[in-house]
This record gives sequence, C-alpha cells and structure tokens, in this order.
Amino acid sequence: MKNVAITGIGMVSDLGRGLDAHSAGLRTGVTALKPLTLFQTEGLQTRPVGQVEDALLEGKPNYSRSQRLTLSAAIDALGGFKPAGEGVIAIGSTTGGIYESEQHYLQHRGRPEGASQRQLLVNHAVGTIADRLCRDLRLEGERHTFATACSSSANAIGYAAARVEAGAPWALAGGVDSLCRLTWAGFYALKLLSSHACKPFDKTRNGLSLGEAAAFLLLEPLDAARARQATIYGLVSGWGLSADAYHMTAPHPEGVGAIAAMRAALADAQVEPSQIDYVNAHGTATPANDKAESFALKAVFGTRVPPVSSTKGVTGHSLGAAGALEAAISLLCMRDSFIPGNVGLGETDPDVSIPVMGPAPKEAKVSKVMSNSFGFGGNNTVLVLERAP
Amino acid sequence: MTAATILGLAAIAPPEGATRVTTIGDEADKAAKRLPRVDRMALQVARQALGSHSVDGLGLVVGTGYGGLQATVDFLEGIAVRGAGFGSPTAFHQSVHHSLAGQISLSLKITGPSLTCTAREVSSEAALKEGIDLLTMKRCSKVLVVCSDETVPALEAAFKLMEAPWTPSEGAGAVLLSLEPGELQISDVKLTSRSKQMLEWTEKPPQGAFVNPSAGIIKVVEAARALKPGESAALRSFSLGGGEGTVALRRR
Repeated sequence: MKNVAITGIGMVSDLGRGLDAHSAGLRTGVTALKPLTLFQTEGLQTRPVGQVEDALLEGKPNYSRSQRLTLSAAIDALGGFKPAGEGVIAIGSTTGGIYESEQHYLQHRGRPEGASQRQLLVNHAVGTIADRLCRDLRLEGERHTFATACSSSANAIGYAAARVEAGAPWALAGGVDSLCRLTWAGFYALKLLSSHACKPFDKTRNGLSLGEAAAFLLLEPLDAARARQATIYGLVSGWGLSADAYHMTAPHPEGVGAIAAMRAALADAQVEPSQIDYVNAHGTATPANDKAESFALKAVFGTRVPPVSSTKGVTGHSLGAAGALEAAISLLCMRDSFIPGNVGLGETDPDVSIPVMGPAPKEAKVSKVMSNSFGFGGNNTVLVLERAP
Repeated sequence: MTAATILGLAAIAPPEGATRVTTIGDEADKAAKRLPRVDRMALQVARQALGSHSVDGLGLVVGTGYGGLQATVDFLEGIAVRGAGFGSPTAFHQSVHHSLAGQISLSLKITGPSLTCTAREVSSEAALKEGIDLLTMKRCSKVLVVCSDETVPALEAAFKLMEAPWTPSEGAGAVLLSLEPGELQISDVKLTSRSKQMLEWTEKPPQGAFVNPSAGIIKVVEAARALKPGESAALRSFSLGGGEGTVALRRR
C-alpha cells in the first residue's frame, strides 16, 4: 500500500489525551502505571495499571467507559474533518461495554431482576461502540468491529487502510478497551499479571500490566489529503496477518506465525527489513511472549535488528486498543524524531535473542516503523507505517 | 463488488419453533465436546463447509454477535462465588470473541489470515463482506467464513429486562468462498447503517420473533441450497444498532 495517508490522530491513555501528552510522557522514560482505583479487587495484592483520568473522557454519564474513551480519541482524530461519501469506520475492541454489564451480572447474577440498572446492559455487545460513535458523530459508512483479542485495533487499521487503498474516500480506524474486572481477574487467573509495573524483555519480568486506552487514525487517499493540504502524519503501508494454529493462549515458541505476519507486512509495504528504523514490539512482558517475539524478530531481521522497544512499560497492555495506540505512538516517533525506551528494563533476559533498547528513549530520525500486535487464539498482526514521500 | 463462488456450505439451526440447537453433530469428537456450545457449533460448520478442500492459502473470518457468552457467565460466576482471584482460566480465554477463530484454526490447521468481527445482528453480513474483501485484496485464495452465536439464560433474562418482545436464539453457519468462477455465487454484500437511537432497529423484527446474531449466514446457506439454476435471491438483515446488511446470491 502506498496511497493511504494518515491525516488525523487521536489518543487517550494513562499518559493523558493528545499527541503532545503522549510524546512528552514517552520521552521522560518513566512509567505512567499507577495503582488501580477504578474497581476493587477484593483483598488481592494491588497491581499497577494504566488507568485513564475520568476528566479526559467525552460522552454522557450513561455511556459505557469504552464508548467515552472511543469518543475522546475519535473526536481528536477527526479534528475538523467533514467526511464526504461513504467511508469505513473500523474499530478494534476485545470487551466492549463489559465494564458496565459485568457490574449488573455480579449484582444480579443473570437473574431477571435489576430492571432499574438495565442501562448497564445496553452497551454489552462490542459492536455497540461503533453504533454509538456513528450516531454521536453523524458518521455514515460501513461499520466494522474487529475482535481479534490483543491485535483487534491493528486489524481495524490494516483493514481500513486496505479499503482506502481500494477506493474508499476516507476511514476512521482505531480501537478501544477499558479496564474491567473480567480481564483483570482473567489475567490474574492465568498468572500473567505482573506484581510490579511490567518490564518488557527484562530478566525478572513476571507478566503484563493492564491498561486502558483508545486511539484512532483518520485515513484518506494520499492525493486527496494533499489536495486539501491536510497534515500528513505518515502512511499506512503494510498490513500482515496470520494465525499460529498452535495454542489458545500461548504464542508459538519459535514465533512461526509472527514471522509470517512480519514478512507479509513488509511485502505489502514493499519495504526491506533493513529499511525499518524502529520496531514497536508487542512486548507484553510475559515470559513466553517476549522470548517468542525476539526469536521471530531475529528470524526476520537477521543480524541487523533495528531498535526494538515495547511501550507497555509506560501504558500497560490496553488489549484491543494496543495496536492502535502503538501505531499512533509510532507516528509520534516519526513526527518528533525519537525512539522510546523499554521502561522498566534492568537486565535483558538472556533468552531474548536480540538486542533491545534500554529504558531511556533516544533521539533518532524515524522514517519507517514496524508495529507488532499478537493476540489470544494465535492471531498475529503487523503494521508498517512510514513517512509520506 | 467481485462475486465469490461458494465452494462449500453448512449450517446448524434450532428445530422449528425452538430457540436452541438440539444436535450439533460432533458427538464422536471427544475434544470438541469439551468446548462451549458456541465453539462447537462454529467448529462443526467450519469442518463441514471446508470438506476435503486444502487449507493452503486459506483465510478465516469469524462473525459473532456476542462471542462466548456461556464462558463469560461461567467466569463471572466463578469470581462472584469464589472471589476475584479464583476465576477459571479456561472460561476466561473462551470468553474472548476470537476464541472461536483460534479454536477453528487450531483444529483445522489454518495458518493464513484470520479475523473475527462483530456487528450485533448483522455480524454475518460483516463477516461475509470482510471475507470477500480478503479475497479481492489477494490476501488469501480461499476464505472460510464462519458465524456462530449461542443463547444462555442470562441473555434471555437481559432481553426480558429490556422489555424486548423477542427471544434470543442460536445457531451457526459457514461458507467456503473463492474468486474462481463457479455455479453458485455471492454476487454482492452491502453494509449500510443509519445513525439511530441506541437499541433501535432500522426495521423491527415481528413481535415474538427469535433473534440470533448469526442468523444471516444461516439464511444464506438455506437460500443457496434452495436456489435453482438461473435464480437469484437478496437477503436482508437488520441490527439493533441501526445496521443493515444485504447479501445477494445467484445460481448460474
């Protein structure tokens, strides 16, 4: 793909709302993870999370938290853009409005009672996020909601970009997930929640830190973006996807599916591995992911591995939103000429078979970025983003 | 839109007048029987639609309105009864919408592009559109589109709480598609939407109707089987979020 311009970016996470807040936060080299206050975890040890300040959220109080996050980032991404023609709205999310519906369930346990709180159930279906967004922003177009776990919003961006390349006049693509009890307790049950702020690629890493976020990109054909003299943050040039067909929750230990997705994205972008300036790794800080991902990166890049970092040590893992958030971060790296560090990294795990960035960011001209997203069920999605010529 | 040829198809639906599927047809498969119903139905129709076709160059798109509802309920029930630290790890990963696609790719060894989409009651139409898009984008040479939804008592209770005059239902369907010329084709899939109030249909189903988010693909399978040479059909579905999907079929 060579014709898909990114002309708007909206992002909200524990770092704040907007591009400058994220750029500044990432360049401090300090984690933004803090104790969870959104809900109680009933006597269990508190774990740091990437929680968004309520004051940053748009929308009405009866909206789900995911919808409020979505609206905040989508409004910023659209800026003053007035969509003309039937575009594509593509959203990635894992849990949708479950933060609210789980409250209803836990109180009433699925019995036909609790009518006074039925508003909590309205937004349960993940597809509702797109419905409400389109209604509120008066967006007319095809609605697509991808739910491929932690790669959801990377797939939303990849699909939307491919549609723009094929002729769609515009697309709003991104993703969202809010913190909720189900994912917190789920990762706790899988023994994958870090006891401290997560440390991607570190020898002592012991799991991920959860986060919540929303990030959206406005996509347009490059010539149309130039014709209206829009700010062009970069291009979506590659989308690669594959399935591991290996295990429901663990990555293939040799990263076979990840390798296939990375190679597919590079081929789609018509970019050689040696041209990539930075890899924003999936880097969850689980022992299995970081080892397998490093193995895959070594297979793709050989002895010339570009700087690699995971930004989840700062933002936590925002699941369905992570792919879009990290794509937006990759665009910030191009705009502001820096590469984020692996915040939290002390000593690199010897099992990580590639050199990775230290904890501090560095100044660097960045023109081409690979952003990796891998999800439960063995889904692998890779985006290549680059500066507009 | 480029027409896609149907190479294989399968569907599982409840008996006439019932909301639940009574026979999935995988009773001999001991591994499958341990899975949630929504996964079992998806896997069974996927297997039947794929038939003896190779998985080389095969993509997979799964559509589901609610994903693993029983697993979600089981997980929440676990933390309600035993506490936040004692949820079932299995129920957690099965509650993820993409679990269905993961299970299908694992069981059928599909390593190509894999997507899961959700769009309330037009999830089938969205999945068919995305599947055909993957073909026209040349990201795979064949695509298996599978849609599955299950109903559980908590969903039925939620419908009653919302005073909805419909009953949730379940079922699954699958079609194997390619761009090779063929006799039976999906000639078009259109997704449109109107910015409605939440929980407002573009066109309401009749009072007392059964509502299954995966009904669209079951209708496609049933219509495809019934089409005679030279006939065509257009199947419309509406969603509670203001979405509308139309699938056009033809038999040459």
